[in-house]
Amino acid sequence: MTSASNPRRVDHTGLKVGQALTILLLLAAFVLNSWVLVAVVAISQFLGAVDVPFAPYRLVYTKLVKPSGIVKPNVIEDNPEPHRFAMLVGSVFNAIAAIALLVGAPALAWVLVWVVIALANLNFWLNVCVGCLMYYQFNRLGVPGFTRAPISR
Amino acid sequence: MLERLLFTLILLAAGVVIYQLSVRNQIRRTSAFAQTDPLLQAVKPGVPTILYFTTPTCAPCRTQQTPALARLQSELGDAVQIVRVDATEHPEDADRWGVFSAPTTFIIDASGHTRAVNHGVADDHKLKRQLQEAVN
Repeated sequence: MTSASNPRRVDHTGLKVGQALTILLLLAAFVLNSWVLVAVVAISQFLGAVDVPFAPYRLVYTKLVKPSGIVKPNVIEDNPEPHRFAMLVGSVFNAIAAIALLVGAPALAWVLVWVVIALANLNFWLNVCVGCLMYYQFNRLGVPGFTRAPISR
Repeated sequence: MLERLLFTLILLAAGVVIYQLSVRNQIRRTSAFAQTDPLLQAVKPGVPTILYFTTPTCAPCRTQQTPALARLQSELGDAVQIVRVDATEHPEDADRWGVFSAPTTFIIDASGHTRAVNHGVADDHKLKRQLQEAVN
């Protein structure tokens, strides 16, 4: 979630809220055996990844969570691109999982969903953003499109 | 649905238990070599130490963990030593200490034993409390 005033700043509380929603919705999807919820997460993550103002996770954070005062914003100097890439990877996993559920391949679907749950938990609890690590590795290797190097001071 | 709920709860509980056990194991394992570890050779004996692993890509390290440690250092002065290690420059040290994410901070007591480990940002209040527990 990019801070509007400065594109090199990221509200990490917004990211945490997104991760928490991903975890809760995917756990609910598994318990309820619902491809719809998996698809909802995939679409939400995709809209977050392309950074549209009406991305559902962004709306939940800016319109509900932040005004309620439950959590404090934590806007820090950071590249938003690696976090968006991480969301994109998650959305691809979830999109494949939703399709797999629709075509009758539940084992593949739930393995993919549990991978996303595990990665989201790593990020939420331990700040290990595997998608961000992938992004910076691609940047180091000179892969086109991965233009942002780590911010250092 | 009930069996799926049960499976989920068991998996989540297992995750918590495995994490707690791995933290305990990390404390026990690093305690065994902390006194003679090359990273801690320059520290003054008899003074608690915070061993801080960071990386250049770690935004919370730069904006939260490092300032928190600076505040703690200015408050406690010579009563605490802080050793900062870039895990990407010294991957063998990070491996030896079992560091898999940044920031990671280890609380080493005055006798050179690991007393606590924090995965993720630990604010100065938490670190101070852990240091006090390490002294007692």
